[in-house]
Amino acid sequence: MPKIELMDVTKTFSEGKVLASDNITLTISDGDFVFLLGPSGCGKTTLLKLIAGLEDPSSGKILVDGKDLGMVNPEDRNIGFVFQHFQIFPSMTVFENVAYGMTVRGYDDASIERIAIEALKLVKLDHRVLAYPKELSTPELQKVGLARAIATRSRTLFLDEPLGKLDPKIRRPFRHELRRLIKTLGLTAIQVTHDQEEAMAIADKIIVMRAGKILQYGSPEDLYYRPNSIFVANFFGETNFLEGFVSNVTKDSCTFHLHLGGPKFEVKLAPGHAFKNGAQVMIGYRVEDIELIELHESMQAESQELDLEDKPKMNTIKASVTDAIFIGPSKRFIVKLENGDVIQAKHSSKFLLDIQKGEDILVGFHEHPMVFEYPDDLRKELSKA
Amino acid sequence: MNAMPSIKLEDITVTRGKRKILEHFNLDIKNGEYFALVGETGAGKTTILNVISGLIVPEKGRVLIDDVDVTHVAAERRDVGMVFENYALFPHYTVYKNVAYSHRVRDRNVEETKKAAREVLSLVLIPNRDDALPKELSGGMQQRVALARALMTDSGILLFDDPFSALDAGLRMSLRIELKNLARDLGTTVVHCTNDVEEAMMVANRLAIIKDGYIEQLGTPDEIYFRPKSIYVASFFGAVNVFKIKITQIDVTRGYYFGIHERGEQERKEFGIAIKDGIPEFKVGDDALLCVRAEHCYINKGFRKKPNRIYGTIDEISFLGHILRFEVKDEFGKRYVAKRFVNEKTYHLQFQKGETVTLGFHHKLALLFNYPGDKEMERLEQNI
Repeated sequence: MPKIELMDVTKTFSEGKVLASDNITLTISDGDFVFLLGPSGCGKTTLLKLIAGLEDPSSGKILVDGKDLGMVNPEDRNIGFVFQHFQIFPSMTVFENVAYGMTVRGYDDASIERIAIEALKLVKLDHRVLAYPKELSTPELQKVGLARAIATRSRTLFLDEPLGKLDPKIRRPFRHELRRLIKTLGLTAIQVTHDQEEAMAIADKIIVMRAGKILQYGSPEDLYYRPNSIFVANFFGETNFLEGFVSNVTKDSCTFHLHLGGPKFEVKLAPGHAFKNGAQVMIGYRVEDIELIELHESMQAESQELDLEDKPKMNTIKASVTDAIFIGPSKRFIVKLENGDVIQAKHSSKFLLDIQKGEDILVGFHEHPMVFEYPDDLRKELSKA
Repeated sequence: MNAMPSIKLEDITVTRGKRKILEHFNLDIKNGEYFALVGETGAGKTTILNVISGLIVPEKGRVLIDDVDVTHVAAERRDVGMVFENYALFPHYTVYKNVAYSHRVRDRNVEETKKAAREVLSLVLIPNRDDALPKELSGGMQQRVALARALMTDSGILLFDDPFSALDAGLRMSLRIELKNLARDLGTTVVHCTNDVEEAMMVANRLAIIKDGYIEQLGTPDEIYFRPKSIYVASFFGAVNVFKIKITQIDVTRGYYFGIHERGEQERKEFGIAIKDGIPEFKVGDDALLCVRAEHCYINKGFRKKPNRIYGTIDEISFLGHILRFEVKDEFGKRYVAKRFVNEKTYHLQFQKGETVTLGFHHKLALLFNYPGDKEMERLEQNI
């Protein structure tokens, strides 16, 4: 199982005018399923091509299992590819498509058959070996593409939007099947996608790129709970950002003053933070972290205050519900805070919240929001394109 | 604009080559309704829109708009607004010219056109970009321009063909809410096609699940989710755990079906399911298909033997942000999925891969369907 290392890799196009990879250093551990994500034009496809050896870096080194990729012939690099558009030969049967690479490389018939059937079994398509592509459904076509990549017996798999052509109803179960397959074979795999949810669901690690740079590289949980920028916080999941300034800054806490004359409340800060009194900030809460408290409920809570000692501290703000939408598994609430800010909350519909449209409520904010410096260009930070 | 027209499709048949896309298709959309058509690619959603707009004239059947037969009225004279997935803006026209297009081809008064264009552009929040070309705008902005253009038409009907699929998740979410509010404020009748059932649930008053050119189910979001007519409809919302059970007892007074799932010598699971609206009638001895949505399965540590429980070990945990998805394998190798809503406070209640757990579900949240046959059952079990 190969380990891939990039050291100070830079790639420029158009005589240095376009910087597609900007001094990138990273390590992909063997057996990891890594996703490359970012807005279009961020350099993710270039990075994939560099790692696959389809492009040479302008400077820097790429090592695969300690060996310089530049010293290995492309045909010896042992890499399997899966593409969004399948690239299946329409005039060949499923078996012939999967066997093609081996036939070209002059394998003997017995080996070809054994390896191809084994690969087709893994993708559960061994009952369709003699079918032609036009007889197959879209997911089956992509399984042929997968089987063909597996049949190269590469230890590294590169996938470029492999599920992009599938309907959501099929795509969701298929992505878990894809991960099971990659894990069963113990492959190192790198996938490009524009679907954040897909990356979160099946990646071991995610690389978020913007403008040729790596913004953050970590597990889905790292990126979701500890984003290092407004951009990353906004890129994964749904986040409500509140604007304001801070006072009473200590080494691990401050008072946050919500803008437009909103109330103030205490929030915790990460150790080593660089915020100063008076700094303009944006604080972020995920939609599922927004608590909605009915007024009568909050009155009960006050009267039982002694029982609440162990509960985490909750800051509450007066608000009204402008919409309550049932979406099946979840329920979504659009809420207007007393200062006029509009935020959203999302909760499991299993807890049949009877909060209705038009109702006055309290919104609870816990004291551990994501806290960011107010950016120079907020629109750019919040744009995903 | 005529506010709130109704739309009626009566016994529509559309064929392409030898294939019947729609056959004896009926649909009744009330005035002012926000209606969604949900289906997979190729189900016939776009054909239905094209029949309403007049881009396709059906071989059989009638199209009525506000009870007037428009079956043979040309598309441009039906004048319904359309918004497509790929925006379909004229690339060499400015924002203003794109929006004013329908008025210009109908030789409307210039001042009137200007006023109307200004109004719709400010409605969709694109002021002051009249002279920009589409390529200078982001995807979200282009789709707003397309929406503004659609709003310039006179019929009070808007047709949306997967309008957000080219946009990223965050933008999609905010535009959905805007669109819903805008349609409500304007009193427009909307038909919205999508393959994303959550999108449909967010925007629509009623929705129809379309499969192979027919309506599999039509209802409010609440009905579609809690009383799906078939496993096909139920599984639109994500993973559904399935069991073949034999009905062993019916308790009418307490309102329960009791059943067992048996396979081989060893495997035996007992279930109790509340009899509620929409569940078919069964006799003792009948086979049935029991379905439990992944989000209705709760997961607990350890082993508790009781009805409506499954024991197994955790095979995989996926983090989806506000949801943790667990894959659990029982001792017979069968796979189940449970989803749990989490947030920063509850996330730490972690489970480990390989840990023994019990999955359970509430008897009121289970779904029962007629048994679909062994072959289909096998497919359903594999697709979890």
